[in-house]
Amino acid sequence: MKSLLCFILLMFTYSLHASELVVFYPSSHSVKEIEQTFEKGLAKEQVTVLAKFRDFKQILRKNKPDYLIVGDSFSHLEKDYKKELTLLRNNSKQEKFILLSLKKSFSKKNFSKARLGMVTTLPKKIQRKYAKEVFSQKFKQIKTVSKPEDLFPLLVFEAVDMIAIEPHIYKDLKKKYSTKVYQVGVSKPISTPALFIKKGIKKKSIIRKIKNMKSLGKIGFSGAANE
Amino acid sequence: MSNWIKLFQVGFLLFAFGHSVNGFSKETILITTKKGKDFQLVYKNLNRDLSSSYNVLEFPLEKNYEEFKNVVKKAKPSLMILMDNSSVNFAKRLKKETNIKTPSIAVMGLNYKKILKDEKSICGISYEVPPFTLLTQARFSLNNVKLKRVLVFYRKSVFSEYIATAKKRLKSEGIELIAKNIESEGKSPAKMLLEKGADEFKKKDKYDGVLVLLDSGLINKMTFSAFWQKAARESNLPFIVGTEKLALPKMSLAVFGMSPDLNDLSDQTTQMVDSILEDGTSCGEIGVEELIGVTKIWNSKQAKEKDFILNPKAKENLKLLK
Repeated sequence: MKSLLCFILLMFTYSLHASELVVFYPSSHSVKEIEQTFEKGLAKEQVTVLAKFRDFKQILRKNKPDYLIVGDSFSHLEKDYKKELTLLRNNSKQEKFILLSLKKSFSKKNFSKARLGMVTTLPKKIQRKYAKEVFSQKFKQIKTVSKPEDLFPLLVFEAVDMIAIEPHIYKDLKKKYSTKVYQVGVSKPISTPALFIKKGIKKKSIIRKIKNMKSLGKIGFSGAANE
Repeated sequence: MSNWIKLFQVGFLLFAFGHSVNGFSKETILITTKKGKDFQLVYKNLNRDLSSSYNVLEFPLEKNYEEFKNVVKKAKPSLMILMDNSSVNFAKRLKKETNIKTPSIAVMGLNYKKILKDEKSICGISYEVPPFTLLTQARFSLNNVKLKRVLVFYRKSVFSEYIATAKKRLKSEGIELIAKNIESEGKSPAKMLLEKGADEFKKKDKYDGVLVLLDSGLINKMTFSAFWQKAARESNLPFIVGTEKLALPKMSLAVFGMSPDLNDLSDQTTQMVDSILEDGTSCGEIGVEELIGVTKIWNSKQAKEKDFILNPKAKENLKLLK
């Protein structure tokens, strides 16, 4: 009886510490698509996909999940995690933001006076720093939106002078919007979304599982590579 | 022992003083609020996001103007967030009577582009879903309708600029907004709509959809059932609205609707606060911004009755109502 109780207690405790993978990066794929892809590929891992930074910030603070798949800006946010695996786009660990404007002639010398639109991935002050870093440039103002599809209206309503967007997201947004825009700049190379593991976590079988996932292509990745 | 007690008392006083000085050194933001879950949600978000950097002072709009004036004079807020048109009226009256021109952001009210047109100390965020957003999203969602020509009835005296802006933006999307002015001397717009509106629907193949403008002069008790519901019932066109209420299945009107995303609206407001208080941008420079974050509604009942098919790729962030 005692050993049965101990076993039950052990299982209960184990379940409380079931490892959680939290996924957050701007994407034109739906939360459901991304969630289903990872759940299928990582059976037995608890997967939570978030669409908004506010929700991500809250879960990071409360749950301190063991595993995260997050975008490039994350390294500015948390030092308790280590990057272990990068998801590849077109077989590359890197991509670049493109800057789009309604005005073809928007030149780089005007960037310091420009208002830039981006998807929120960081707290406000850190996002400003991040934008300055990736574009080697300070902007007059950074306006952020909670989802990529809101970037186009931001531009069309002239609430910003240009938007920063990943090329694969722009490719999908073109199916929704046909307003003519012009590429007026490009960022430094940034990392594609990557797997970060909390420091001190020994269980790293998730790395192998993600690398073996055949379905990464469904959500825009060509594979995964170790750091 | 008594020395320890004295030490504790001094320590406590120092702590309390330091805390209060910290509180006093923060700027104050006054937020007018109303009862109602939408207003309360936005207030809760704003309070959460602003209270770490500012003293947030709530002013419930159930109180009167004199109380508002007294609170503003006493608290001397650095900025005011004015919910609803009634608090905009308070702020305007305050400026006229006292010359207090506290920078203010108007939210969750109607027709700000018109009522704040000449205001230098009040900027705002429109609460109406822009036709650009409404029709581009409707086009993406309606899988079996090529939304290129959209009919809208409007009152020129009230919405002329609004329609002109919408037309221009939609033109770049390849959507033609065909606007019919329903005003006439001597007759109310509602009567004009009832008499002449139906003629437009007889013009076969002229339109691919109908945008229903949220104008109480055109949608009211007189016209809702006798004109709008009748038109939606008898026509094969998708009706598109900028409010969840009119997209409800029980309304038997619209197949697609949109309404403000209140969490995104709170973020947009907070960003405007930062722009004014941290970056030093004036309200006059900001003007009235368009609403950005929206939620989408699909009326499955109406869609089934009229054979409209939802694009599976449009299901993200979509409320499916049956």
